[in-house]
Amino acid sequence: MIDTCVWTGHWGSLAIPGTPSDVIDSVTAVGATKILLSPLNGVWAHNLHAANAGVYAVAAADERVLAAPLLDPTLPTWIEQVQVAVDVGAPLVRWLPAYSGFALQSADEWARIVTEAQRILWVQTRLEDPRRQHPLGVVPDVDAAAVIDLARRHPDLAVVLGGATWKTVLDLAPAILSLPHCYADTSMVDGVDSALRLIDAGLETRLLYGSHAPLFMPLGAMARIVFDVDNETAHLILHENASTLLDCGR
Amino acid sequence: MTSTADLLRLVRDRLNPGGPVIDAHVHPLDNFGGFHIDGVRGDVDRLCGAARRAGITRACLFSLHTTVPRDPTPAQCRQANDYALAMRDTSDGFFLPFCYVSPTTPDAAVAEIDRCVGGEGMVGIKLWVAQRATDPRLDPILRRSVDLAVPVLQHAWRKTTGNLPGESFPADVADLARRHPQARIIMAHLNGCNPRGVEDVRDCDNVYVDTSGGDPETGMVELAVERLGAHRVVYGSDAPIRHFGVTLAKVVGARLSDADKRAVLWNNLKGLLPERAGLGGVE
Repeated sequence: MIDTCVWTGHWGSLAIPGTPSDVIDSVTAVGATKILLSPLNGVWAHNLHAANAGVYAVAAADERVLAAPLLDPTLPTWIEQVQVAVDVGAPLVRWLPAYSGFALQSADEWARIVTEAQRILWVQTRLEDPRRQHPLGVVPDVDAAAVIDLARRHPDLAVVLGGATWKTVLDLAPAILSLPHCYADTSMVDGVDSALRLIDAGLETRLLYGSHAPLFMPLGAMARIVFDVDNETAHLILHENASTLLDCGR
Repeated sequence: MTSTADLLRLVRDRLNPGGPVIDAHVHPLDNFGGFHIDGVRGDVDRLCGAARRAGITRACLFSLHTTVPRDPTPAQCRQANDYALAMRDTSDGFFLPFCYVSPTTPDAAVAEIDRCVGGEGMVGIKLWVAQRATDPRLDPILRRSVDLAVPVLQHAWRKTTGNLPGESFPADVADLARRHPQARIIMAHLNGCNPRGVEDVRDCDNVYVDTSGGDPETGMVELAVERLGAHRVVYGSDAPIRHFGVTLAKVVGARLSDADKRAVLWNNLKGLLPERAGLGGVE
């Protein structure tokens, strides 16, 4: 089982068990055998790239972990960081446009570079519900439609819509399905029958299991799958789709 | 290598609540989620089905009316309550309805409480966002809840993005509780109230908090139990806005003793509801 949305580190407004070992233990306890790990410590840093070394070290020491570095294309070192991801075999890079302050409408040159590097681009639209953020650290959601528009302009780029709500994913289902390498993760897909409704919309081959641990509880992330989804479809969401996607980044 | 079927079995075992579960906070599909349902029967079948798959045994239900007005008229409250009663009757008692009223019209609210709780056997009162809990127009409603020995579930949030004009903060709930020490108040949305909200009500022994509201953040249920005591925390999902299983995992997956989990999942709310809720023979 592949958990595509895992973080490690500190989060200022919430006490979380964020050491690498805590996080790995929590997600493997509910069945994860492969973990795409990113550094929370970079999110609020002036130079978010500096935090990537930590997850590279964890990945080097633990074969269950694949580093998913954070990249900020507004930093002058970002192309070097893409090359580091290639060199260490990190198949996926994550963008946090709302935290770095850039518009996806202006990201075409950057997307082209990620495409050429044959990395998967994960665009995180939300880390924390804006209603629950610290009042002095409010970060709005990224427009999910802009993520899909970016994917449409770069059809050879594998793009993941990260952290979107079920309704957002459902509304974008036709657009996601029209693109050959476009996926969405389940980490913030909440609500009664939410996974079922996305499956009914034809997205069963485009959903990736993500726990959003340690910010969220991995057992909760699994609950939305195990109570509602048949074994065959669950296998797609928990393993097969991510495996197919990761082939794009190798 | 664990097969997917084995993995799902393993996780289902971990999600087993180990006994009956009462959900303190459920709305009809008719209110939220954009479901295309076939009347009360369709609502019951789909909502009940989702709840039972997750291991929920009974659910407190409140309709906020099909149009979900923030300050409903007495007629809209009556329609909402009739819908909840129909769901109770259609579900063979799975749903335990609360009476939804607006403090904007306190006399009408008390009359509706008498109709629904006194007459129809509803087991609690629901207050949403028509007026903040500091408003004196809530007082006759709270007095009636004491007379009829039913709890009041008061919506509360502490939104960084700003509460609605009539939306209560946790501190407002504390004010209400101090004005009515005999009343038993369930403050909704632990995650929405956040750790500051827990502190706001900590000294109010007649305030309980439900575990609904917001994402399944790590450590929130443990925090509520540590600060309030396990006896003042009750499981709530806020379905259909939230998933029964995801919210259940917040309690089942918490670092709590089995006894504390049982208290949160069943015993505490059983103790708050009147006997006519029929929970005595379920265990």
